[in-house]
Amino acid sequence: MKLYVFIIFMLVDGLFVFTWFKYLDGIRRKEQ
Amino acid sequence: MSTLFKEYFLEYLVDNKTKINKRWYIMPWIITFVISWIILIALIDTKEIKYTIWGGILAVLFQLTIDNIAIHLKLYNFSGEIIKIFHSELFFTIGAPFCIGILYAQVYPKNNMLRLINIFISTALFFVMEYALVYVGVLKYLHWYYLYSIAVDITALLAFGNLITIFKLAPWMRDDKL
Repeated sequence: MKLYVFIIFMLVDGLFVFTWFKYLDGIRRKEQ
Repeated sequence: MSTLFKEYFLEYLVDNKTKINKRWYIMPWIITFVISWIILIALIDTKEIKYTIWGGILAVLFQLTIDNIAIHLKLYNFSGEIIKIFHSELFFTIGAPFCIGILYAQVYPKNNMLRLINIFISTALFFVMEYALVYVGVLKYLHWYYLYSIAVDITALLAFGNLITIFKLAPWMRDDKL
């Protein structure tokens, strides 16, 4: 059970990491 | 099934101290590794990799140094390791710190305020992973507290940002105009 909660935690965290870095990468590409 | 095989098989699958099934016990390290690499592959700019990879290597050195000191001092402990490297788990080291280190160098912002915001958001996102690792039981705090991790993460990211600037690892730092 704990492992499933962990997987959900990590997937949500991973999605936020992806979104944040994608946003910063977008700024970088616009500026270059 | 012979007794010898049964004993070996059970010893391999079950951690004697915690009695937790080892197959499940190693999964958190594999999961963090896979998710980190999916994010890296999705966002990496291959033209910049010869510079940004140094960001990943520096982040790995940071993580190994800090965790090696902390584990040696019995501040916290890892368990369920697959391959140990300087008291750390190899799949964790070449997962989150390596991948996010590369991306951190790649997207390092020009704007000073955005750099500061980036530190706090990256710390918050890293902290969620750390909390999840503690929750699932592969990271155990012995003489440690969540707030200490946040302080160490912020300090490490400040130092990391400084190294990115010194070695010009971010793509915009190598523009001819600058």
